Amino acid sequence: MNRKDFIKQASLLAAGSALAPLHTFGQDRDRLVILHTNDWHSHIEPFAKDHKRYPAQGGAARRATLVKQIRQEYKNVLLLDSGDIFQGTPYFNYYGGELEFKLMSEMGYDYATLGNHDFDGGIDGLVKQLPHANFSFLNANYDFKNTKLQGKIKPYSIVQKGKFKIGVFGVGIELNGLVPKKLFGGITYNDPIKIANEVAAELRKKGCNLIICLSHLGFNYKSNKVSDKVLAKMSSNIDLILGGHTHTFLSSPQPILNQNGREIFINQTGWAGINLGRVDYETNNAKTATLHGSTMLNIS
Amino acid sequence: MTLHYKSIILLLSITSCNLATQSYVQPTSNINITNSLTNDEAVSNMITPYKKGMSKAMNEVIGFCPAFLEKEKPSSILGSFMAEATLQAAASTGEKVDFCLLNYGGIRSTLDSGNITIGEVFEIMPFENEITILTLSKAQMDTLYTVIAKKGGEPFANRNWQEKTANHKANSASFRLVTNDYMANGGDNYTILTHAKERIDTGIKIRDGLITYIKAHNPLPLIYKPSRN
Repeated sequence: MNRKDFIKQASLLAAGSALAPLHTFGQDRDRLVILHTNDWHSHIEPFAKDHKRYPAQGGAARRATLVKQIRQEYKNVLLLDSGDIFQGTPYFNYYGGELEFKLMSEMGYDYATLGNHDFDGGIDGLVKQLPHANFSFLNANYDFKNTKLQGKIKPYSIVQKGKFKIGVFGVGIELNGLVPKKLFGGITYNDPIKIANEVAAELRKKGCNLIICLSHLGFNYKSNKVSDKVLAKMSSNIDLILGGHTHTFLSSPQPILNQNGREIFINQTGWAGINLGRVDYETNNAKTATLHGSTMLNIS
Repeated sequence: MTLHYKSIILLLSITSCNLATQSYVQPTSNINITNSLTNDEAVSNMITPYKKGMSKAMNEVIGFCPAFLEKEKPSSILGSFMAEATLQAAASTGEKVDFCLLNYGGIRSTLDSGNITIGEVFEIMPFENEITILTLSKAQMDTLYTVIAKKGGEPFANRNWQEKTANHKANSASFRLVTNDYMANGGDNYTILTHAKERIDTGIKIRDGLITYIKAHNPLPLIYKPSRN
């Protein structure tokens, strides 16, 4: 049943592009399903049925159903978020993000990174809500020293799923000019490219065969401003960047050649919990993992 | 058939390339599978009490509006009320203020006649924008005039701006403008406001200013102010 489903899935995924069935590689090949969101901005309920652009789309309760369905089907699943969980509906104004974190915990999120709006309640507001999150927040380029977040945000994490040893880390956008100083005061922003390369190299050294960067830098800018595209080009050990901030609706992971000429991918799901991104990787050894396919799942 | 054929090609290419450095899958096109998803019960149950609690807060009646109000250009009662409320909130900090300028685009809904609820204020002003006080020169004021005129009018309120413009023709005169941080940052093409001589971010949300004003002025006074003077 699994194999039949897979082939069906594969043909769906392929959509005219080349894709090899699992069995051609033998039984020892392992699959990882990465599910991800970004900028869901407190959109706990779906958009109204008469909404002009996203009628009846989104909603945390239906996202949870979709995640559950996929978990029933696959053994190795990661659920990730690229920041800006907070701000956008009165749920945040009234409850300060408490429900957002509780729902993400219920859905089984593994990791999230911080977006600029996650500081809208100030450092204090974020610290207050952290106990409601049973998942970890990752950021490597903010220095939280001498702030109340010190020791509460890890730069990276390593998780084993089947044959995958996955290194996940986070990078955030320059807060100065974007967030009122009194809300993030004390946090120092460091160059995300330099830090990302250092962290990714360390993760590779530790034996990770898949390195994922959760980014809230933004997909791309007309100016030279650092973005996921810039980061991807200048990186050497990152395999996949799951981005946010620019609310970019990508239909599939965008391939970018890194500084070694190796193809890596960037994905982003838009915003407001309208879509759940899905990116599948496969591996049959401890050293490498390869992108197998992707879908952008619309919550409707 | 097509897929099968491509798979063979693919297999050939895989055997000849290094998996570590090359991805063999072309990025897939968007498969927007439309799921008719049902709500997850556990998550729905978690949301319910929060939703109820919020509905209670959102339905709180804070004032009364005698007429249906809608934003209009060059000016409207709704815009005048919002600018006046923002001006008063800024003045409550003890800062000297002359006038208030908001943006037409920042009025997000209409205000129905009858009881005013917190929820309605959220609909008019869903953003978390805060009140900013800027000090502008006479020359900057003149430029601002032109910008407002080009836009066909904006929500506006004033204290002693008219007498100031009458009394201080000299370029040395300065004016204290109350606005939102979005415009102060140059939003809506108000680049001129980014060159203010001084800027004070009050930390007061526009919405909170509106709520305070509605509570203090019950029923809501219907004042129409022309957009410029």
